[in-house]
Amino acid sequence: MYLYGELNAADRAEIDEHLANCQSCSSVFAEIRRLNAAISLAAEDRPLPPNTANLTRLVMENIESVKPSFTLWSMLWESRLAVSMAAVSLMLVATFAQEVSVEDYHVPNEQTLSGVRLNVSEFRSLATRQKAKVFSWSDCRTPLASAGAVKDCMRSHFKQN
Amino acid sequence: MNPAEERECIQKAASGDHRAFRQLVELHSGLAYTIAFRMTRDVDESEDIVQEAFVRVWKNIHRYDAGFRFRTWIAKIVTNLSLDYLKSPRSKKWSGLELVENMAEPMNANTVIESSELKSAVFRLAEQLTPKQKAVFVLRDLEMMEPEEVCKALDMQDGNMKSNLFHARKKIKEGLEKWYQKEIIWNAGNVKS
Repeated sequence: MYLYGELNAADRAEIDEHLANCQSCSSVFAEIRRLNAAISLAAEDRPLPPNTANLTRLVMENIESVKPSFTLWSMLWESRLAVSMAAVSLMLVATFAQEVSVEDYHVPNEQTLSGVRLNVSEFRSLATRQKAKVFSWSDCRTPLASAGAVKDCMRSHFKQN
Repeated sequence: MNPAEERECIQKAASGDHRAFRQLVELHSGLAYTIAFRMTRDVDESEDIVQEAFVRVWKNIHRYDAGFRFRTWIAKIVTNLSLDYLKSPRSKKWSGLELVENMAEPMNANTVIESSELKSAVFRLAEQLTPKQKAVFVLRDLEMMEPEEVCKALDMQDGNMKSNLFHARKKIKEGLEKWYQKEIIWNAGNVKS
């Protein structure tokens, strides 16, 4: 670790000092250096393919018959469909969420839940008022309606209320 | 090719561009072959491993994690394929006796050791290592990869990597000591005769 520079500065300094004063350790260190020199010499010898161009050709021939194993997600990402689909999903959720009414569910007038007394009639009244506000917009908005038609529809609705 | 160009090539290859992939093959096939050969010591097997490695890269290039250097990813795939080969029955196994017999004899009576003989001795001794020790030794000491890169390439914890490296270096050192002694005896015999 010392030879390969894998020690921190403090440990390295401690070993340096010891090697300067210890004959047996410094001879062991000399042996290790000899090993290191032999390994470095071996590392210089870089075996290369006998015919690099031929190896590249073989690799390219092999991949011709193999298609990348794209996952559904990567395909969506590549075609940028994911972003479009997320936007459409959000719009649909927003549209349908507004159309859910609390009146579709049977709710008793008063009930106690975990010790909390719920004022159901007040909650229903608030929800109905909220629904009335957004109802005009979602009701007027249809896929084929122009902006002008939606505006006229909403105006007439507000006049009625 | 600088890192930005390499990244661009990877992106193009991920979208199916063969020309960009070819550039990556030309850039990294040398490294892939060197690692494969150092692990297997077999030319044909190394070429097969390189081909298989690049097919795997092509199949999975869209999964490439930019947190890895591309060369580390290639090294990981090649090393895994080489380890599979070493565990397979078709891999060549060297016994201790064969190793000593196959070590190059010094060709002159000088005490200066020929560098090619020394290299040959190191490569033969590397054959005695376990597959994991060999993989660590090849990537760290011969390919000179950073310790973090070696850990990533071999899916190893730092302590495990250092332990394998320590044992690999120890075996090579002990083998070289025997080889040096053998050479000294051989030279002494030559001088007497």
